[in-house]
Amino acid sequence: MSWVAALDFAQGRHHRAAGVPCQDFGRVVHPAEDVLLGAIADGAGSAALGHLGAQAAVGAAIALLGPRLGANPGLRGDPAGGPGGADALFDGLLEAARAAISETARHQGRPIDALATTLTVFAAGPLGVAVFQIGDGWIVSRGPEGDYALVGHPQRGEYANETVFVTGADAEETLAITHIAEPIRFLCAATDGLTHVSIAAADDRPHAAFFQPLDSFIASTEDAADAHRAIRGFLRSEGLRARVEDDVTLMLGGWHPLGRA
Amino acid sequence: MTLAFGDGGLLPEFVDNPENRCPVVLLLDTSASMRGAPIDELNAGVASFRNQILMDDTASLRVELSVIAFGGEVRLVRDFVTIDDLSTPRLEAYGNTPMGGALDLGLRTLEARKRVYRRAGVHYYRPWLFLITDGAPTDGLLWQEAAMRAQEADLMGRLSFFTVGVEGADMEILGEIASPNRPPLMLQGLKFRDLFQWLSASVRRVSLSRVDARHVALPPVNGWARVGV
Repeated sequence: MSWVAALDFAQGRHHRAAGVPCQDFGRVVHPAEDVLLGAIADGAGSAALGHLGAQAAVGAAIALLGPRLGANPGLRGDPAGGPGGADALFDGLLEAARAAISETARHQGRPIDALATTLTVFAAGPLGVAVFQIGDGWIVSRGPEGDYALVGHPQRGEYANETVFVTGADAEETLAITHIAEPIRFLCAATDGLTHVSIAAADDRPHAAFFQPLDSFIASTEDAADAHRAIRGFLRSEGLRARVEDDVTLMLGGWHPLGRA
Repeated sequence: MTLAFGDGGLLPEFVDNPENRCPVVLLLDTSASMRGAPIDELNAGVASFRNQILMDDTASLRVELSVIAFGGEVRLVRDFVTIDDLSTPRLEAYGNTPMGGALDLGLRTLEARKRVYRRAGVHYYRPWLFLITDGAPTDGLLWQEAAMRAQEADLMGRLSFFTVGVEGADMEILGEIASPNRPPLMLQGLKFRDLFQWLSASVRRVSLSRVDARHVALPPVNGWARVGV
């Protein structure tokens, strides 16, 4: 039994045309047997050094939670299935992310707002997933039965291009922690760049025909390097580029109940 | 090679979401004092705005323009349409300056449009309200109440409210109408085309990238506005 997971991110065509670096960043790791930890971040388009903010936030999340999950992978296949649940799991993460961004800002001689970024972090086991969310990144999951569902909700403002950031004064109030203690077979994490092509705007429902091929693929792939190549190809494919102008990040995770070959 | 997911040609199907919309309302002074070169340049400016947006495939699907003229009366010249549907209106100059009524209609038009978006599940960008005048309101004190609503909306981040005075404008009253966030700008001569090029560049910037609500960096205005008015 094990997770197969991979992640990649790619620069959008508008940033490429404008010579702006990719402002998305993400990592996915296996801190303990049967536990998957991922973090994705989307630096603000309006922030000069959003890419550095995204890298700092993701780095801080993995550095804090990796050892924590390594030492305590949770209970009964659920990383948040211990005393205190998801709140205890993510305790101190916002502060750690902000401290890492402040540190980078100080090195760059810039205010922290110049490194504004969203941050979505998840910790998953075969029997539960917990999500830490500031901003409009999102996680979609599927159990052994049932449909694709958002875990929590992307935090969008009233206006299409506006969201909340780790660096914002209101980050603490907007932080949302969600915990689902159910069997998980498939996980997909993405930044806002992919929202428009994968989630129905009218009711925030994941578009099954978008997720099914990703799900079947990761369920039948046994090698993370193959998964990474496929995600990389998809994020750079003509079809996607024709529809998406923003930077994009995509993480796919599949729980293989029978283990890797 | 474009890599499909899975070997069976399984490609993710994209959901058919409507484009996000960016509503822009132009409140244009077409009173008698605009006759001659000013109204001609204003017409040319609006046409150039449309052409600039049309040159950008994405922006032309997203930017929706409504035009309200105030000269003698308040007229909704164009209700919201995307730029590709908009035939360029030809504005004529006559009458006095019912600016208060125009501002009121502009605000109501925007609220109505947002309701349409919400009902249809369309995401939208922060609306733009853009007032251009060469005079002062002639419809009594109507402008005071409308200006207060516009200022409040701008301060609360519900819209971006810009005011531009053309030669002859009462900049003192325009200063009272404008949001404290955005003092009125004075047009250099009749540089309407430069103004509308700036507006199209700004609207495109907002409609194409994700921004922090409080930090929209717009291009400099010194190509068309007098600085330090």
